[in-house]
Amino acid sequence: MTILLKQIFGLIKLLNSETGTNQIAWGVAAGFVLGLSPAFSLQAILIFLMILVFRIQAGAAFVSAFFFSFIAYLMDPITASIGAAVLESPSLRATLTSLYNMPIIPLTRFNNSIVMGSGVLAVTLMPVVYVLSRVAVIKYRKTFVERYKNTALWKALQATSVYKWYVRYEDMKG
Amino acid sequence: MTEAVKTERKRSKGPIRIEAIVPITILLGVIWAYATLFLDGHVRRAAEYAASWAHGAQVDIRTLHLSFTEPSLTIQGLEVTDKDTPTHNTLSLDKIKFALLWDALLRAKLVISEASVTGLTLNSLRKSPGVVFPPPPPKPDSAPSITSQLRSELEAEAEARTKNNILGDIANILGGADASKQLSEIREQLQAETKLKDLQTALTSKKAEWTKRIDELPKPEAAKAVLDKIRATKVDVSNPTTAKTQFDALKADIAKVDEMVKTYQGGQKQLETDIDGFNASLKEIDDAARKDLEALQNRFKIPSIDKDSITKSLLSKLLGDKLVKVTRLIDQAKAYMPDRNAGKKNEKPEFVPHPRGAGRTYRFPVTTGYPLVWLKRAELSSKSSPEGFTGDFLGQLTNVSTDPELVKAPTTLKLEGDAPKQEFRDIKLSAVLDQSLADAKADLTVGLMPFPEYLFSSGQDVEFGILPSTATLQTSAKFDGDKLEAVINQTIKEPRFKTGAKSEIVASALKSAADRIKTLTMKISLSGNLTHQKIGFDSNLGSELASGLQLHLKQKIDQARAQLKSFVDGRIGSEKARLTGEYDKAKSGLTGLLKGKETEFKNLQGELQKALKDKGGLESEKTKKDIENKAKDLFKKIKI
Repeated sequence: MTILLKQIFGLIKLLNSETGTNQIAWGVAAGFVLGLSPAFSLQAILIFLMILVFRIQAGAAFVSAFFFSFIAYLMDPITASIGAAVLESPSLRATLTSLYNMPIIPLTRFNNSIVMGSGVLAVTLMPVVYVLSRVAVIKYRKTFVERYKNTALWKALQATSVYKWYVRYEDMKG
Repeated sequence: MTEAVKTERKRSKGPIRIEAIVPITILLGVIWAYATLFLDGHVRRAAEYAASWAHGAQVDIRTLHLSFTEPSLTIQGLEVTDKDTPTHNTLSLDKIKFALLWDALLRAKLVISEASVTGLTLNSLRKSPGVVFPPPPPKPDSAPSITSQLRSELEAEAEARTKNNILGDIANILGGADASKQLSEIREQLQAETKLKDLQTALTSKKAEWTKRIDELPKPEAAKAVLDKIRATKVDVSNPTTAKTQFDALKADIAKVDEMVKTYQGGQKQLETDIDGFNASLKEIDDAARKDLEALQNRFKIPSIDKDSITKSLLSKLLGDKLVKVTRLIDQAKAYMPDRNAGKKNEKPEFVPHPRGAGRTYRFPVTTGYPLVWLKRAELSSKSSPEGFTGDFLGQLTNVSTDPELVKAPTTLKLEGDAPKQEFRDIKLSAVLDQSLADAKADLTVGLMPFPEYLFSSGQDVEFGILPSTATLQTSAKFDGDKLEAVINQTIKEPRFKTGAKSEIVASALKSAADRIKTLTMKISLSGNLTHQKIGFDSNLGSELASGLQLHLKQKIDQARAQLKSFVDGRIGSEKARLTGEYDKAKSGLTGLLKGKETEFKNLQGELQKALKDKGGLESEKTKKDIENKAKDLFKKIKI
C-alpha cells in the first residue's frame, strides 16, 4: 500500500514537473493494457515486469489500470463478441490451433473470448491511448501548471525557507 | 547554470529502470534459496498430507527431491499404511523416480517420460502403527457397495456354516441317530392334520348343501301329473276346431315337461361337477403331507447328498473370503473405469466452444499437446528381502494418463517374478485397460503357491479340512463395456485332508471319500456388470465327497426318510381314510339319486309322447290335410 501511495504521489509530482511526459504516457498505456487483461494471466505478469524493468511511470500505470478495469468490466459484452469473432474466424483457425498447441502461449488464456477481445482492443488502442495521454499531459502542463506557477500564492510559497529546504532535500535524494 | 545541469542529469536517465533490477535479482535469489533449501521438505509434507487423506490412512515419504535443471521428482521410502492392519504397510517402495518433460511443463501439463519404481514390498511391518482416518459417512442416496453387501452377507453365516454344516448332518445320519424318540415328542399339529379337519367340516356342510340343491330341482311327480291329465282327456273328434284346441293344450303341457327335464339336467350337471371338485380338495391333504415331510427332513437335518449342496455348504466361507477381495477390487476399478455410454456422448468434436462464467473458452484440436498427467513408461523392479511380501519382480507400467483418447494407447501393466520367501513361484500379472473403448482385461497366474491349513467343517461331531498344500492359481477378469466376467481357478494337486469324527463309521466314511480326491479344484465365477454380479461356486470337492459318501449314506438317508413318512402317515392316515370313505359314500348316494330321477324323467317323456299319440294328437299328415281340405270346402260353400 505504501509503495502504491508513493507511486501515486510520484505521479502527481511528475505530472506537475516539466519532465517525464513519455513515462506518464507509457504508464497510462501500460495501465490500459493491464486493466483490460485478466488478472493472474501471463500477459498481466509481462506488463507488470515491463513496468518494473522499463522506466514507465508505475503510478500512472496502476491508476489507469484501476480505471480501465472498470471500463473493461462494462465493455465485457463488446470484447466477448470481438473475441468470439476472432476465435471463430476460419482464416485464423490454423494459426490459433498452432498457438493452442504451443508451449507457454496457452497460459495467456487467449482461447477465451473476453481475453481475446480485450487483447485485440488493448493492442489496437494502446498507441492511441499513448498519444492521447501524451497530448493530455502536455496540454495539462501548458494550461494548468503554467497558470498556477504564475500565481502570487505559488511565488510566495517558493520564497519560503520551507520550500527551499524541500528543494534541497529533493536534490540530495536525486 | 546549476539548475540546467541538474535537469540535464535527470533527463539523461535511460529507459531501463536500473534501480528496480537489483530488488528483482534479490527476489529471484530468495526464490532460488527457498527452492534449494525448503521446497523439497514442504512438497514432501504436502504430498504426505494429501496422499494420507486420499488413501484414508497414513502415508509416509522419507525424502522427496525436485530438480528443475532436468525436471524430475525422486521419492524415497514411500510407505502406505494398511487400513485394516495399521501395524503393516499395504505397499512400500524404496525409490520412485519420475523424469518429466519441460515441454509439457511449459504447457502446464505433467508428462513423465521415464519412471522407475524399485524395492516394491507388500504387507511389510511398520516401525510404528500408522494412523487410520475414520471413513467418510455414506451418502444418504448412495447404495451400499457390493463389497460391503457381500461381506455382511457372507460374514453373517460363515461362522455358523463352518461349525455346523452339511458334514455335521451327515455325521448324525451315519452315526445312526434315531429320530423315533424325537418324533414321538412332536405334539404340534401337522399341516396335513389341519387340512384334514377343515375338509371334514367342509364335507358335512357340503352334503347338506347338495341335498338341498337336489330337493330344489324339478321332480318327476310333476311330469307324471301331466301324463295323468293327458290320459284323462277325451278328445272331441267330431268337431275339428275343438279337437285342434284340445291337442294344442296337450302339446303345451308336454313342452312344459320338456323344459322341466332340461332344467333338471342342467342342475344335475352342476351338482356332479361340484361333488367331483371336492375330490380335488382331498388331494390337498397329500400336498400338505409332502410339505410336512420336507419340514421334518429339515428339522432332523437329513442332508441331500448332491454335489452342489455339499460344495456350497463346505466352500462358501473359503470362496466367500476370496470373493470379497475380488469385489473390493471391482469397487476400486469402478471409480477408474469409464462409462462407455458417456464416452459416446462426449465424442470430442474438432472445435468446441462452451460457455463459462465470463466469456466463452474455445477448445482447439490438440495436435502436439499432452494430457494433463501422463506416465509414459515406468520400470518396476523389486528384490526379495526378509521383510513383508517381497520378491524378485520385473515389470513395466505404461501409458497411465488423464486423457487416454489423446494418448491413443491403452494402459498396460506387466509383472513377472517369484517371491521365494513366501514360496510363490512363476507369478505373472498382465493387465490392459483401454479407456477409449471402455475395455479392461487382467490375468494373474501363479505357478506354485502355498495353500494354508483350512478347516471346512469344525463341529463337535465331525472335523474336516485340508492340510498345508501347494496350489496353482489362474485368475482372469474381463470388462467389456458394461459387462464383467471374472474367474478364479485354484487347483491343489495331491491334497492331504484332515478328517476326524466321534463316530468311527463317520470317520472311516470321510477318510475313504477324502482319499479318492487326487486333485482339488475350486472355481469362483462372476458375471454381470460393475454393480450387479451373478456369483458361481464350483468345486470337485462336493462331487467327490458326494460319490464317496453315497454308499454309506444312501441307505441311512432312505431309512430316515421312510421313518418320517410313516410318522406323517400315522398321524393322518386313519382320518384321511375315514374322510375319503365318507365322501365316496356321499358321492355315490347323491349321484345315484340324480341318475335315478333322470331315468324317471326320460321314461315319463316317452310315455307322454305315447299317450298323445293314442289320443290321435300325433295324427298323420294325411289327417291334417283332410281337415284342411274340409275347411277349404266349407269356405267355398260360404262364398257361393
